Amino acid sequence: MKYLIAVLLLFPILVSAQNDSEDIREEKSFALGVVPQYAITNGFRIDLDFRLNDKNHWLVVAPQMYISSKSNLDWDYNSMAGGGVEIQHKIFMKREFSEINPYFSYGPIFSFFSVKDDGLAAQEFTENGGNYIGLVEDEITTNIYKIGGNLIFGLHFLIMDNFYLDSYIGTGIRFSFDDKTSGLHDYYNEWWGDMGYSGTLMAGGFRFGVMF
Amino acid sequence: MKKSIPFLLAVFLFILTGFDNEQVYYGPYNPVFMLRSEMEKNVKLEGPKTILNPGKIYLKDHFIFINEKYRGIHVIDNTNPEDPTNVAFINVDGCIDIAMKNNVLYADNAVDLIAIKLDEHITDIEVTKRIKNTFPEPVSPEGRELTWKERQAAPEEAILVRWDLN
Repeated sequence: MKYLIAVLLLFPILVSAQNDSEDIREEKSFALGVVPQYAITNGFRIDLDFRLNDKNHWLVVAPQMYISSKSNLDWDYNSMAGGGVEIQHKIFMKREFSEINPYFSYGPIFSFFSVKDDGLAAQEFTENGGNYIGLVEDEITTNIYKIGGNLIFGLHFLIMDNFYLDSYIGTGIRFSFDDKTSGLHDYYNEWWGDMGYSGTLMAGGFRFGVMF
Repeated sequence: MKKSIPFLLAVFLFILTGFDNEQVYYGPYNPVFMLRSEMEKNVKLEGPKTILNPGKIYLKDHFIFINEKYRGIHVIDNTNPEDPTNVAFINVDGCIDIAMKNNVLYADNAVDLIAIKLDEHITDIEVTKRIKNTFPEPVSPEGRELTWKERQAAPEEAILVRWDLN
């Protein structure tokens, strides 16, 4: 496993090393990419990168979609759907693109999840003139809202002029709440990848795409 | 070794996140709730009822008060010890304990402490004092508290008054 992760981490460098050209001076103004690790949480994310000016500032708009009709290894829900968007201000260290382009970025993120799960629902009944409330098993829907932000440092590898690989790492913070409890329960907040996580976290991963 | 620590941590995190072993145990008892307004107005004097699940017993003059767990208090006229008579039932939801001083009966009305003034022949009652949220929520007979799913399902203003056997 250790070697597999090491290979994955080094893969962009190995690929970019095949390109013998010097600094790529061609102006890039748009990039379209995907972030494969979102599939782990039944998600799909597209990164749209727009160059803001003739300098090294970019705007990243990253819509996300989540959908699952069955439970997975981490969750035991009946179904889940959601969406979100992350907006980042990305600043490359160098104004001109070359094979390896370090950058840092920051910005807010918002996510929404609607989770259907087996649960309990209140049911009123009358007994001896009094109005009582019992609980019956039912499918309940919990809406989870998560906001936060990330601060990222990454290496952007430009490959064959129009393709890129990007490995990044950073930190972030999340605040989550739902529409069912006064405070989001630990069930949805056990680790930093959870739908209802609140707290600081380590961000990291890969993305790849095309660049024009 | 130090260089491999981040990798090992990452692998460890993925292993941790790959399992969901939470088993929610509900047990044989189901919680029953009341809205506070309903609970407060449901303290009332009723006709005698059969003693089904007796709790504490309190003797006062010629009356015996027997707690019916989570439901109220039976009033037994013990004027003739050879033939005690079940004469009334004071409905107090969530009641598991009673005490008495003079003609005032003190009882727990779920999470509240109430004082009930009784007339001499217990033909009428009046709640003269209520101290809200004095007691913790009653635990089930097997000793468990509400699960998070039960808390999630209960209305916001609901108060746990008893546990019913499935």
